[in-house]
Amino acid sequence: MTGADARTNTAAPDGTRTMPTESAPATGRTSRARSGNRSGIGAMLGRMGLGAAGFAVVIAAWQLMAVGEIFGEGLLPTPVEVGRVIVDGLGDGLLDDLLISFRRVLVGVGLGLAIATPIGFVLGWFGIARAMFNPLVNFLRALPPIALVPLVIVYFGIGELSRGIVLVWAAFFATIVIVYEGVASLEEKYVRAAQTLGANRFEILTKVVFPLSVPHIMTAARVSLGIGWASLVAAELVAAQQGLGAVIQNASNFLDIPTVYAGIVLIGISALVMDVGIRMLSAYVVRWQDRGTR
Amino acid sequence: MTQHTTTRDGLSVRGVGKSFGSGGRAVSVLRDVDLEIADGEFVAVVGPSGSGKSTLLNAIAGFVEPDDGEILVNGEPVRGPGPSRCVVFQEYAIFPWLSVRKNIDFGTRLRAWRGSKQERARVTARYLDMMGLADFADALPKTLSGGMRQRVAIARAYAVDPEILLMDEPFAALDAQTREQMQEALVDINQRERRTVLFVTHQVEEAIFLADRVVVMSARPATVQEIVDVPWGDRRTHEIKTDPDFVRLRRRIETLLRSSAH
Repeated sequence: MTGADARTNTAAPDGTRTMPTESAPATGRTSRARSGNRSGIGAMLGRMGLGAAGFAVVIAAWQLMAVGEIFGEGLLPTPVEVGRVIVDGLGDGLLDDLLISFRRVLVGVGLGLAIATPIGFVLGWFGIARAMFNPLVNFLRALPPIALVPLVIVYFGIGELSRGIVLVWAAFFATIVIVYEGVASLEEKYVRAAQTLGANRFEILTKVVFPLSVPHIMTAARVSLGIGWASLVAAELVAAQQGLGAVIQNASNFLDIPTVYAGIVLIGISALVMDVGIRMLSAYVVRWQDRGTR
Repeated sequence: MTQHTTTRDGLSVRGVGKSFGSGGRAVSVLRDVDLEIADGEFVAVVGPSGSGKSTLLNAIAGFVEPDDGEILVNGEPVRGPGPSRCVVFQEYAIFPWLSVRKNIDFGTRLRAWRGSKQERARVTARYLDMMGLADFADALPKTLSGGMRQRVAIARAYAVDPEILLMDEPFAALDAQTREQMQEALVDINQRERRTVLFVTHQVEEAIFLADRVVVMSARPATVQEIVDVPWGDRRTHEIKTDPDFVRLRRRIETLLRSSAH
């Protein structure tokens, strides 16, 4: 039983059994609560098992709906058909589309983060700058990046630049707010401690404010990646020859519904993979954080 | 100006007053506080809770600017916080993202510190050792108990070699047993290092146990009510706390505090 394994493994390090006689779902809860720490491999496998079970439920429901033809004949492919399209397609150009979308998201979100982080620092650190730009940032942030697509196309055409601008925009505004609110809410005591040890303003910024902001930057990266995928696909749907959004758009023109599903599934998988990656990176980078303060 | 009338090293607090708020709602926290601390002296400040003890410490640290009077360290007026007056805070203020070792050499890695690399390594090793932290040098703060965290904070403060160490109720959050151990650790390090220390506490016993002199503050607006000499010199072992003279001194200070906190 993975559930039982997870329980004994998480309970072992400090010798306390939090819920000794609980059933499997409760075990999932304990292991999630402890996931910030070095929880055992068993606990991790248990979590992954439960996650996989969630997918299994949805895929089973999908299979039933497809076989039952509830949308009419041939309009909902079965999971197996979609899987075959993915496997075949990956050997035949689909992989390129996947990689192109992947790269666009990474570059766009990376640039957005890189631009927004220092500006977020300035806004968080200087009250006057924050008072001046906070309303503006919130106005611009409220605009869905997708709403920019038509304008961007008018000004910059349908090339890589346009999609890049939409992505950078999306990541920029997601990041800047998280970073400046993080910087503005830093615990004063650390700044004071650094001052009495002799740190000048620059050293406080680089040696105290920056490390304390890393958790916020990681959060911003995670949020930005999510928004990035959504925005990218929207941009690709409208104007692109390549990329997963374009795959979906082209397939729908030919009513090739299995390929539409294949594109959607690949987008989901890509976003999931990136999210897992950023979470693993984050767990490593901010391993100093006390779980109690998370 | 009377700024340089003294040639004496150490800390001079002269006629310091401080109010918070403005107009009719202004609260006077410190009034006409005078205090001289000689180089190498350990002075404890006690006062009723809510009196201006911490405000006084924050003024000396440079976090708070007094409305009246002046504060001199070795004859130099205090302007803002700096490493000449290093603070050990009540809340654990060691940097959670740095190991114990990197916390301790934080100050000696800054530009304000003038010393060689070898000196830095020596200083860090010395205080790691003196505070009993050598086995935890690479540990992260989240794995340490409250007492250990304050050991790191104390080591970090000694490492920058301040003119005066300011300690703002550093043991207040610890349990009684850990607190006693920490008091002994502090006595130990300070008998070896002999720095000027201003130690704020609300525990009279702690003040007498640690200090050469105990400054008794009045209730708000706080002023220096009395300064009591503590006669034990370097003989600071556990046992003196039950010495009849110690108990008498403690009673006397507690009576003073009660009478002022009407």
